[in-house]
Amino acid sequence: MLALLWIELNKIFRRPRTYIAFGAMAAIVWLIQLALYFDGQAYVDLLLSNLSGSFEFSDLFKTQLLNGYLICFVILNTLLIQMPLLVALVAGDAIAGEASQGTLRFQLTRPISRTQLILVKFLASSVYVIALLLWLALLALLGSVLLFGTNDLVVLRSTGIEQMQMDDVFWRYLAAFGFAAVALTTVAALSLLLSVLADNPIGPIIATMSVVIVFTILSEMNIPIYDTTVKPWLFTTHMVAWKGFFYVQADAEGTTIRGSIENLPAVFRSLVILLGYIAFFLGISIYLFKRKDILT
Amino acid sequence: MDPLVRVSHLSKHFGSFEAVRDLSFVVERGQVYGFLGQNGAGKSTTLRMLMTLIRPSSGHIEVFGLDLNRHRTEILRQVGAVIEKPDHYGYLSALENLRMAAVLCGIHPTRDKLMQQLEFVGLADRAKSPVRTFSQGMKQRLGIATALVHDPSLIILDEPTNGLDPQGIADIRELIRQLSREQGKTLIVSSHLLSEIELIADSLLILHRGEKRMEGKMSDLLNPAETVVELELEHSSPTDAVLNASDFIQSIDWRGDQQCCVRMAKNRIPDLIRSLADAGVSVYSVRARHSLEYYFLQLTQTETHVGPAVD
Repeated sequence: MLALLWIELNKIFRRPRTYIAFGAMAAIVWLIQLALYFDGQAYVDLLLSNLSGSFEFSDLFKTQLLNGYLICFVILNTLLIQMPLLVALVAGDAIAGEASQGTLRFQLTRPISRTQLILVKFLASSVYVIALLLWLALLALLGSVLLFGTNDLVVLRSTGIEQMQMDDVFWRYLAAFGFAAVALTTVAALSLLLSVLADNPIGPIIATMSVVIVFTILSEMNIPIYDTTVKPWLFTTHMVAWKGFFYVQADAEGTTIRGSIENLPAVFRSLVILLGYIAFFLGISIYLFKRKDILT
Repeated sequence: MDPLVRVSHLSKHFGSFEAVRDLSFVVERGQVYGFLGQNGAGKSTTLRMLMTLIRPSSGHIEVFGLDLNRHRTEILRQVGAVIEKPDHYGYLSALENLRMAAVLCGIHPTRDKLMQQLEFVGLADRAKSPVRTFSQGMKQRLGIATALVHDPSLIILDEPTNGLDPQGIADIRELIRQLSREQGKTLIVSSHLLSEIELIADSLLILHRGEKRMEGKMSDLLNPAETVVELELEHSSPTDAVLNASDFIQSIDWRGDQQCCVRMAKNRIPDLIRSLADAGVSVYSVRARHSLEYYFLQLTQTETHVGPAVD
């Protein structure tokens, strides 16, 4: 199995187009960092303008607000919406791309089971997701910290602001990146399922994005009947649960409790639902792939 | 008789289209078994079912005495195949593609061993070149190398000479002979060209519209006692008299006024020509075909040209 995984990873990482995703991410992160480096204070003013009626902010606070941790949070908020496309580019290609090139025959005429092949392709897609997130962590977290330094992290919510002490932030990012890996692996599993159904990679990539976009719109819509019936079961609702690691508990005096998470059970529930989706997508993929006639 | 592949009542439907219908055949160990048929006859579909790329609608396949459905992995460990056209990873080198094929077969040969395989198919000097730079013939040879990398007992080659120049065709033919005679491999080779199959196969199966039309050993099918002689001559009373009086003629079939096909032993052709000449019949041309070639031509002509049906 490890040898097969090595082959899949070799294929993914030897293909020049794999690095388009890495390049695109670097470009976006650097553009954000560059803009905030030269005009960060204006961005902070804009962020705080919504809260200026209820809070008074000192200039020192405003200066400290713009630090590497905040910038990483901003980047994550922006990029984790776009990343499903980058994941679909690889996972959607896993079966359909090989079918269109004829190399699926190359693999399936060898003594490996179709279940093994799907599992290996899923694992390889997961490794690619992790590699993308590590790259993002390197650029967005490490890069921003080096460029802007560290300080307390202040996260704005509709209900107010969340403030975390500087030494209480890093582990939250580790947890958030870990959670994002599961969320994006769900997209990879969906993409792999759609890839099994197609003989051309464009279809699964577009279909994955369509599902993600439709589900995201449904997740964001404020229609009461959907709040309890549809939204809790959409994987896109749970993909953004990584933000839960940045929502903290406060004591009676309103001081943030170090190491706390406001609603840990909700984060765990989201995690379990996403893992359930992965198992479901993977199970259906195996079932269909075992019955698929390879005609290309 | 030592059957290596036994196919019984195999059928495959794609919706209402019947690609293969009730096909049964046996391939013996050490044979080169030819699969002959026009494009769309069902050859590739059958070979794909043998390689588990397609699930049969009905029927049973046994390879090495094992049920293919139940022992797929075990069987494929001893089978090498190039189905339709050999496809490789163009951005990887020939050596890397070969190594990948080996790993997929569960073996980890040394670089020297892999180079030997490439040497065998004449690609050693291009081992490090990306496959996207290869000609069709080189890809075909690499396909054969990847099919042989795990030293299989059974090799399945689907149209191995497709797209090759005459030298490439001769090379592949020689390779097949080598594999069969020197290494004792069993091969199933498909083609739409009788001339190709005739030169390499020990046994032959003709498929037409998904059905078996003829099967047998080449030595029997190419029996000179079963020759079809196409004569171009006047259809007249003396002609009929000569043909009917010749007891060595097994059958007579007139195609229009000037063309006649007679089935007879090849060594009696001079006797026939002499008799016709003695009777004053003008013979414009004589063409002898063995019955297999004649049969296959009839089969293909019914598809592409106006002509009488054979069956």
